[in-house]
Amino acid sequence: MGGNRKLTFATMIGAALAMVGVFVGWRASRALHQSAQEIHSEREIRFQLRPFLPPSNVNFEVVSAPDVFLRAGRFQNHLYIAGPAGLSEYDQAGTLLRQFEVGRELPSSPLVDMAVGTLGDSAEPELILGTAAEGILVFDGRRFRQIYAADVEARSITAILPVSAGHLLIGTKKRGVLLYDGKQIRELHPTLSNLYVQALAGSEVDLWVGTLSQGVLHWHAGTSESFGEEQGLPDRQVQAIALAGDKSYVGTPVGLAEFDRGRFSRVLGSGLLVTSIFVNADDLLVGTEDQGVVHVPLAARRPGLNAQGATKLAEVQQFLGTGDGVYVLTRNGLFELPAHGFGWKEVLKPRPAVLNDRNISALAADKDGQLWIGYFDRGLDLLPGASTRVLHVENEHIFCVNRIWPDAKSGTVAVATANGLVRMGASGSQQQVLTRADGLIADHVTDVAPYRDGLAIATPVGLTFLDANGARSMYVFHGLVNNHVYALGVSGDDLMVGTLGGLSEIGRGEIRTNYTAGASGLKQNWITAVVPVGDEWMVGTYGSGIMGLDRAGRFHAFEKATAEVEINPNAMLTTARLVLAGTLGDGLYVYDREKARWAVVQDGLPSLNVTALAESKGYIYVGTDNGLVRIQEPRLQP
Amino acid sequence: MNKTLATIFSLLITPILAFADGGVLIPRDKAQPDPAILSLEEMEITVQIDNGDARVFVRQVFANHTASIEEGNYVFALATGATVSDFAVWDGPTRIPAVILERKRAEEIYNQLKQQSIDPGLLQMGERGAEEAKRSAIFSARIVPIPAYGTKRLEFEYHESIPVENLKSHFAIPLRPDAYQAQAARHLRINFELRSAHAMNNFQAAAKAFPLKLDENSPHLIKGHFEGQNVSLTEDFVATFDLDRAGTDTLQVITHRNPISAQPSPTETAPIRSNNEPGFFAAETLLGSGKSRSAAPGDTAKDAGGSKTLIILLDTSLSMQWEKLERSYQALETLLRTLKPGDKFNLILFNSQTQSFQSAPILADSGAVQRALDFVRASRLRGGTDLQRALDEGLRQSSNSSGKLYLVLLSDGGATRGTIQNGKLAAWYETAWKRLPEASRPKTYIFGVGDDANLPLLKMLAREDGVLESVLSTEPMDFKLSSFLSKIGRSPVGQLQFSIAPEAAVNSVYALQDSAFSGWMATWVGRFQKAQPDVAFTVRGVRDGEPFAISTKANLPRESLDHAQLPRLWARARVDALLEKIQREGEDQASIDEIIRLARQYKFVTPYTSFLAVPRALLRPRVIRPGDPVLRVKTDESIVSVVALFPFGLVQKLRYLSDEDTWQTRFFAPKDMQDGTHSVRLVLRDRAGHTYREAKTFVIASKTPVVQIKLDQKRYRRGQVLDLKVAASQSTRTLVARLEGAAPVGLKWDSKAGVNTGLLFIPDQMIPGTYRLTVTAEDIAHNMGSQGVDIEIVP
Repeated sequence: MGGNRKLTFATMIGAALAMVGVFVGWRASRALHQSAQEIHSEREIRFQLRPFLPPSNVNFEVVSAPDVFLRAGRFQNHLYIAGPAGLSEYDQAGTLLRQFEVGRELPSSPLVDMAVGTLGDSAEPELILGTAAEGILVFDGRRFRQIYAADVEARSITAILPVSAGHLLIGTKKRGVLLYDGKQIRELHPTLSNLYVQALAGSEVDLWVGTLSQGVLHWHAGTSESFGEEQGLPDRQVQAIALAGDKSYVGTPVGLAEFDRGRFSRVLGSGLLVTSIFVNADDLLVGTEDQGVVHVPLAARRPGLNAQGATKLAEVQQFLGTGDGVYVLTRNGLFELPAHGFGWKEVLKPRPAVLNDRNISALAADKDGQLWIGYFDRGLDLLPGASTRVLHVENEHIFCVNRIWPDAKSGTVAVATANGLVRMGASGSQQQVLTRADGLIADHVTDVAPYRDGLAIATPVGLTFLDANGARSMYVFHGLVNNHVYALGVSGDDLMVGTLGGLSEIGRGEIRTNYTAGASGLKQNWITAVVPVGDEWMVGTYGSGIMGLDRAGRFHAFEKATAEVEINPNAMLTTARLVLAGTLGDGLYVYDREKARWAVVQDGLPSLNVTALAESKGYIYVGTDNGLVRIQEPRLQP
Repeated sequence: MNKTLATIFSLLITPILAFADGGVLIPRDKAQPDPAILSLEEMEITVQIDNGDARVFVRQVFANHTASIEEGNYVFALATGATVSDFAVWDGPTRIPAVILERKRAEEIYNQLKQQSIDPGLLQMGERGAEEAKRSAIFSARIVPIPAYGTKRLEFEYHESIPVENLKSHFAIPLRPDAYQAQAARHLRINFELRSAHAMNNFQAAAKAFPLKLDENSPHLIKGHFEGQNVSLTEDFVATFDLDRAGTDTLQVITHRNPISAQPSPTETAPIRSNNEPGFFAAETLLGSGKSRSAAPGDTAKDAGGSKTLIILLDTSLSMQWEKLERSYQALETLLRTLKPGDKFNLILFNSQTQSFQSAPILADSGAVQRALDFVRASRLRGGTDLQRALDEGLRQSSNSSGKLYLVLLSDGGATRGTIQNGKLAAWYETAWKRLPEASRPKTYIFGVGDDANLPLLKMLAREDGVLESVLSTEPMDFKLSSFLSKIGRSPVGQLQFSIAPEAAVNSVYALQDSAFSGWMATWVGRFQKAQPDVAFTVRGVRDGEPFAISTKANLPRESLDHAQLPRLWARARVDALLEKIQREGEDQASIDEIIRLARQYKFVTPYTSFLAVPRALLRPRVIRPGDPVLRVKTDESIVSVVALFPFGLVQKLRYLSDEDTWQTRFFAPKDMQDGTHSVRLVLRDRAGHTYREAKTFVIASKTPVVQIKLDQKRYRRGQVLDLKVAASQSTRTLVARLEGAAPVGLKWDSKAGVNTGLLFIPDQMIPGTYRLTVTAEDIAHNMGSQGVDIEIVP
């Protein structure tokens, strides 16, 4: 009995101790769990997983522009190629099957990366696409769904890497490496946060992260190790990473670094501006920005380089390895290097397009209805009204186009460029180039407008008047509100000069008034566009949207349009019914003159960066940094 | 888009930024000196001023505090007229000196070295582009390698003429940074020595940061030194002294002769040493005021009496844009505001055309002055400069005027229309000027502006009874402007001549000045072959209508090793004379050969020679020109590809423009890119496949400078000095205060007060009332911001 009592007592004590132990353990576990949850929630990023539904009633028509190839991949036995314009699907014979254009079937944001993988919320492999500003798109072959982070910085994607267990690693411009596991998005690890990620390679537990300015980070065993120029990397900017067994190859703008079992080993291909890397058995294929594909032998003590196709293979983007050989994707085509063959063979090129470039900076229609399309850095196209045969002009002066102004009186067209003011005939022939040597205050012309019996010419250092008496120039010294002139607006003898530091009103060639932010009611000094609208002016600004200025010199705000919006330089147009304004990232602002009401149009635009506008034959042409669209004016309903 | 439209590019060592920086070493990729990377450990400055010639020798040791091999840009701002005479970098125990070579040969070597990825750092003069020309004002060189945790020793020497005006002399070494943050020297020593054949007094070394301990202070020799630890270089080193009035109208002769020739140059193939080298002399006279005691030397403000008539020619051609126009306008405004009630003036603006303010000179009352200034502001710049037409119109108006006549030219002298050849234009002007009746001949006073000013032409034009003063775009102009203005109303000493008896005792004698006033030092240098005792030296001239003569006797010695600067001083004068001959008569091989020989022998840069500064610097693109949103890069012709790596991730190939021999691209900076200095990296590849990286800075300047005037009071009396304190944005480059009726004032940063300061003098004759005081700030992008406040002027 006594023994039993003892046993009972001991059991009771033991049970009590055990209970205490369990309680303590439970408390500790709870605290740990709570703490982990807090840490998780701190690092977690809110997002929506939603089907992407293309906008309905898109009335814009696309004026075709050249495709730019950026990424390629095989999915469901078809070849998919992604680029700023969208996604194209080809069959094995290279026939284009389907196209998904940004702004229409896809969000209005360029595609920047593509991969095939199985995510946690799906049982099958899917095509995963990274966008510049709209997060991740996932395509199952029929429908798109969008992983849309609430934080804009988590939506600015630079690289994607599907890894095991249905996870997706996401490289961003500012938030470093994120992890999507099908249920949540979170930062992978604090040491990999706040980075500008350029490239990802490896797995969730052994990951190489290439950055814009901090070299490469090797994340493994719960820690990250950093390699910069001090550790042997040829440059701090990483362009590409490739892994093969124990070896890692990290490409930079001036060569590659080889790592062996995570340790820096040697520099290869010194001087190459690397964009992509493919590892063969005995050598590396190195894609470059300006030297095509270069073979870099791995065995030689002092590796010799053998460049191939420097001209043809410009701007290499990616390698694709298959059993039959290697494919290389460049900006302008897909090429194949057969397994035992020599030389690169083109197997796919972009479909024909009407325009010669996508990045539009100026638009104008002349009196014959010809459309003049100026490019950011590719000259200009002249699109005759009756045909789709385009005349392309690109030379040392017509290169960076800022503004095109057709002179109905003389039939000539003035083209404002970064390298002078070029006068052209209606047929696109170059007649005259005016530069500083001819009396302009600068070579760089930002805007041009007819004024009195001549031209007013805007430059970053002042304003030049050009007429039969020659060129005369003025800047701040002569009373202009600021030297940096962006935009000119003309109404009779009145000239409005929009500058970085305010607005100058010129009457009959003399400065009448200067308006600056503050006392005048103007909300923003940086003026990017000015157009006369009836009895008043509408003034586009960089940062405060659009304001009205009446003839008495009073500014007034508009509902919706006077907001934190950047109007692009000279991206305003007035028609009989509408006033239109192109913005930086907010689409097209449209003002109904009769209803005195502004509305915002985004659906159907290839980019929300609207850079130029023109009206011709009942159409409104809308130029963006990612292509040109047009719409019949009556269908543009604010 | 499009913040880039407000972006301007600047060189990492942008000359327009570097106003006055005495020997800074800026780490690669930085816009400022950074002592955490490269610190100034030792600095020794040795100044030897011998009768108006200053030799400044600077030795600096910089330490690298990083674990990597560094490179840096060495920048030293030079005053007008200063010429670099030596530069050397020490590579461990080896001194690598600069060499002077014939320009063509220098360029060949330069190109060869570049092929081997080596940049020898070429310094030339006489380039046509303003950016290139600025390089002769700002000495810069790329320094590499600077070993990890090691040091780099640099040596730099230059010569400068120290003029005497109104019996006063002023010498400065620019140490106070205008462009960069002040650097500190862990150990600084300054050795100072001043010798003068004329007696001196009132010597002052005013800099508080470097109080000079005088070891000797006698009338003909002043010696002193300063030594300190952790000295912040926040001030310029400045020394001023007066020359004793008792020494006026005396002539002093100094000589130097080393009969044994110097060591031969390493490049000479069959050197022969001579033991009969020529000697050199300098004769200096301190001009007194003669009988006219009312205008004694030193009384600068005193007018010689009588009203003046000024015909002012202001250049408004496109080449005057920015600093040149601002400076000319400031000079014009100051000049007009200093005119007396009885004086008359007219203003002629010129470019390809001429435009007169009035048909004839009018009285200089305050209303007329203001209208004239408004006339300038309302004008427009035009391309082309017809200087001949402007001078012709000036002489025409002068011929119809009376009184003391002055033709004042404010210009860079770059004629592009009419007669443009320097010699022909000067000859035409001389003829046209002399064609006028003597009473109608105006004194030709010229204020040349800009780093690329055509000084040879302006100098020749000023020979017509006038004076030339010039100012660089980047140097402070107050001192030079007041010196220029002080001469208006005064007459130069006329018909100034120098003679020697026996005449055969010397040869090749040159005057170091084109004109001279009472209170000035006038100097002649010459060469002699044989020793000779009791040579007579005489200066003759006409002062206030009275002829005068100053004489002395001196020995020309067989050997005298004092005054070692004389051979170089003579050689410079000889080269200047040869260059002027070429300007007038065209090139001839004998003159060119002699210029090259003298420049190499005495180490100075001429239009026919170059300075190969530092063999070891990496290849670099030469020029990034202002302009946006366009990146433009000039490279050597061997470069076949240029790619820009922008800090926001964009990789952009540049396009080669063959007409301009320039690479170009444009870019968009992201909306969220902050105002400030950013770096773009360039990857350049040459024909041989060598790749080079370069970093250049660019500035995002989307906001105009903000100005805030701080005044203790709002009411001032006439004649009072307004003590201005103005806060301005950090991007501000120049700050000018204006008050109608008063001369404009440039404000300077006062690091102790933490604010920009300046003194504005309210004229005695100002009419009481309310006036608007305006302060205008200009930033590097030429954006301007201003603030105005009303102040009340009471009797």
